Amino acid sequence: MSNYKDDFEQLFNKKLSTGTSPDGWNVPPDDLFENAFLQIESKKSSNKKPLFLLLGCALLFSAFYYVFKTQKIIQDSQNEINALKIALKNETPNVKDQFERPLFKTSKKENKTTIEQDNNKVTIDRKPRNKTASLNDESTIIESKNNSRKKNSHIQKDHLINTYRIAVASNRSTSDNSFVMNIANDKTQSKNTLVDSQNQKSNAINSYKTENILPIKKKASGIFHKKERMPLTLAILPNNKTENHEPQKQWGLRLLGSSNASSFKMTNLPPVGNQMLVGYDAFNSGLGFEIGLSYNLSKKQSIIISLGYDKIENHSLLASSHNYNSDNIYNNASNESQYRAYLDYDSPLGFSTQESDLEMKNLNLIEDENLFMAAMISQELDLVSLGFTYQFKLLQKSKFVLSANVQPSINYILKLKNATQISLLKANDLVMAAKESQSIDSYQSLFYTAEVGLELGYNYSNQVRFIVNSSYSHSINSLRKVQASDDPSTYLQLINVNLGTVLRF
Amino acid sequence: MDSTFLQKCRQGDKKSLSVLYTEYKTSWYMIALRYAKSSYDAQDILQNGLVKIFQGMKSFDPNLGQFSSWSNKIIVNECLLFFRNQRQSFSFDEINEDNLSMELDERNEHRIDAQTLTKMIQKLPNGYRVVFNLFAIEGMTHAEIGQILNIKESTSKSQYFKAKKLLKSHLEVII
Repeated sequence: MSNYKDDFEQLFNKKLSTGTSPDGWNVPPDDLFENAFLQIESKKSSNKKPLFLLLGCALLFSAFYYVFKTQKIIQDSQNEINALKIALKNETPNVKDQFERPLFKTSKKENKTTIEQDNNKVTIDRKPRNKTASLNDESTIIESKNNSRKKNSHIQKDHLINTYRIAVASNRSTSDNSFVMNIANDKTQSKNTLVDSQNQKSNAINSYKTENILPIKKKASGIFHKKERMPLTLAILPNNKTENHEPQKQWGLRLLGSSNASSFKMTNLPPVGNQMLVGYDAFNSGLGFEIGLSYNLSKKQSIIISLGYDKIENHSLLASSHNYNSDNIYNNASNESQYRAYLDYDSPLGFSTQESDLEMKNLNLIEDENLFMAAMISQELDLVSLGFTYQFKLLQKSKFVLSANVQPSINYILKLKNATQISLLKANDLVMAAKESQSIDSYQSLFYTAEVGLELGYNYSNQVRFIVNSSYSHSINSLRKVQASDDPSTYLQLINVNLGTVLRF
Repeated sequence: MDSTFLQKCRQGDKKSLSVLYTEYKTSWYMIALRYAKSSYDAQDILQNGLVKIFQGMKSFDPNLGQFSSWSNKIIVNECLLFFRNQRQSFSFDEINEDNLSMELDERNEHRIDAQTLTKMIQKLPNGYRVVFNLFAIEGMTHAEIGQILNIKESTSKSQYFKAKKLLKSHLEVII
């Protein structure tokens, strides 16, 4: 290699193609590879970001599209309804009328198009028509007038109907084959009859005719089809969804404390001698509690099964007279004078025969003297009731819920405490008095009541609702045993005010 | 390069790519060194080139050529791109092609090693260096160089000869 002038490149090629130098000057650091690899990995992950962004945009677009479409459907439905209202108001001829319209009364519309008709010939322009619009537009007679395209196709439809009628009418009267042919198309000169044209769809002439004639019946059904596809339900559905946004708990445990006011209502109360029973219909207060289990049948309806306990009181006054009989006076163990009186009386819950020992307060009594006898009858009942309530939500505002309750229930008198305070009076002076407790066994331990009420609830949370309800219940059957139809009957009237909570789960 | 190894490299298997890097790193780095003015620039070029090579493994077809040729081209392209990105100007002056001959005694050839030549190339102005590398080392024609660098063919020629002249002067000093 004496001359490098020609081999200059060769020198560099030869020298620079040598491998790794022992001193490592041409060896790159290893971290280059690590850095490059990390760079690739980071690029891979960053490549996913546009994908997510694209996906997010697509979702957003879909959401907007859905909202827009829903709004449009609602708007369209509203327009249709409004148009329908206006049409009905203006007594717009309905679809049926359109079909039954006399053949040549649509001349105004026909003049707007290129239909020409004479005695035996109808020529229809061959302007392409929107088949879909034509099918649907039968119903647009009573729809919004904003859609000019629909309006045009509606006009076109009228022409076709008329054409069909002309053809049929003419066919019946003249049996002229050329009539149908002329209707069909100027370009095609076939001489097929209308019947042929309907049977041979492949024929060029009849294809137009069959296209125009056959859809008429379809149009009639299309009216209903149009009505069916009115998207009212679609418009309503989202609203229902929003109303159902709050999750409804199915079950609820009801715990209530109650304060009641009760009274008896008596019928067929016959006078027993000179007795008079009054005051039983006055309301007396009592207490109770209720535990129940509610179940939501639907958003507005629920049923409740409840077990209640009520303690009710009734105070009545029996006024009577008594003839003093000195034979009934005796001295008791304390050597006190006692007057034994026998008292038969009709209490609200049954007849009672009572023997009372009265403490003599005034001994200046004349034999057979007429005394006024007043007996205060106090009856306390311990009631348990098993109720089946149907509850209907009347309205809900914010967290407050107002419901109506209807409840039939079975009641059982656990215990009846009958107490009588008897007083014998001469004029206004008390001469004798006694307090007695006497059992009564002529009452019905089992009776039925019907209850109506209103309940106001406050949803403290999704699980807890505080409620206050007021109800009025009336017994269906008598609390007294009734053997004959004219027997005295006693009915319980109960007004309850309950306060408590519903724990929903 | 067997197909299994190539497949692993294409899948981005780090071990396989590491093996690939170990095998070719010197040649790649030397290319970068020739085009770059310093080892720092060369390392930047190589790192970017590595990314391109590893990502482009899927497009490499062994039937169309050797991997070394394919990867070297990528490194060269990365070098050219580096200069464009760095906005480093190329000085393409017309030079006289006379007196570019250089006579070296065979006895002195051993005194010229790769590192020396590389350093000599690095000392060349950007335009000279690039053209010299493309013509003398990569074996491109001046027409190709003109097309790549968007310069006239004659300019490429002149650049090359100017580079050659400078290198000769450097070599004469050494020898």
